[in-house]
Amino acid sequence: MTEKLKLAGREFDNRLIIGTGKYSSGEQLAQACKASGAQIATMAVKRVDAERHSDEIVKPLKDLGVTFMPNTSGAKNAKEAVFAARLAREALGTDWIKVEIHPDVRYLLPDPVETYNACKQLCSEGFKVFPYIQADPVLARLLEELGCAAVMPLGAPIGSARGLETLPMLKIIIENARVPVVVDAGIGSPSDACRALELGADAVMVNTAIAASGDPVAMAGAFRAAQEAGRAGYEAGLAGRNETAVPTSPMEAFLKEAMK
Amino acid sequence: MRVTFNGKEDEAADNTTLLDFITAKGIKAEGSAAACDGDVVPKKEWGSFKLKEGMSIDVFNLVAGG
Repeated sequence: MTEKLKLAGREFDNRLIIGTGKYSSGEQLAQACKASGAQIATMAVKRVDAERHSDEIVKPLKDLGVTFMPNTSGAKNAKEAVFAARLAREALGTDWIKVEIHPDVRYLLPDPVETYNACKQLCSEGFKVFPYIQADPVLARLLEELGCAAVMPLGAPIGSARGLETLPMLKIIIENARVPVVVDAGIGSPSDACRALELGADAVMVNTAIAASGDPVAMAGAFRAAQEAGRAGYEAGLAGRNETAVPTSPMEAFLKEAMK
Repeated sequence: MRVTFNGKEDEAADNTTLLDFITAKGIKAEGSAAACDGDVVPKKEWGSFKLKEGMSIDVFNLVAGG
């Protein structure tokens, strides 16, 4: 049994945070969430569209006992993100908020200045703030000092499935952080999630890699196994890497015996 | 009176509260949030919050997203 994940004063048995986008139905989402074992899910705040039916996602996840982490996706600046956070708090009755401010639609990279400003305001309003950020160790430290509940550095652009492209910087963030580190975005396969957790990330956030896979429910199960393996590997302590071979068998003694 | 609802022109009777307006739209209060003229109105105030001529009302809920 591995250690529990601790986020904003709560404890979780599973280290996946599931994004709820791109599933074919609310039912498929709920099945995948269950198969993944995830106990935290993100969702977005949008204006009600009375003319278009949209799948109910809150209730099936609530029935599974999932903790909601609403996000500010769609916000182009700090002001819009703060507005979205206040709406999410009213709608869901939670003070958890994932701050996402990405004005550039091609790469959806987070704006560090607006993110910092939004986090400053939201921390002062008592929110439990989870900022989505570039894998920037300096920014991560500044946000930690503001009082953010965790930092969520990206591995690669959202939905790109390019894996842990920012690995060297993620390692520095993990080494320095005194708040949980959640690797968010870019995770394309179970092995990416496993690797991030093996290196000491506290959790990983996954959406597209499950929702857009050939079989989302089966893939969710694969991610569940990956997060278990990754965390267990981290807690066991990885063997160090070497540039050259290091014998695992007593080769020299064997040769000496044979030459007699 | 004329109001704007989620960016579109709409009508509301005099003395309509925000709760009346939202309920009449078939929107459940649970899981929703509302803002009037850009300010979030706490749910506990919906029943006493009176709409005004020209007011802009926006109602939000949670949708799938990463």
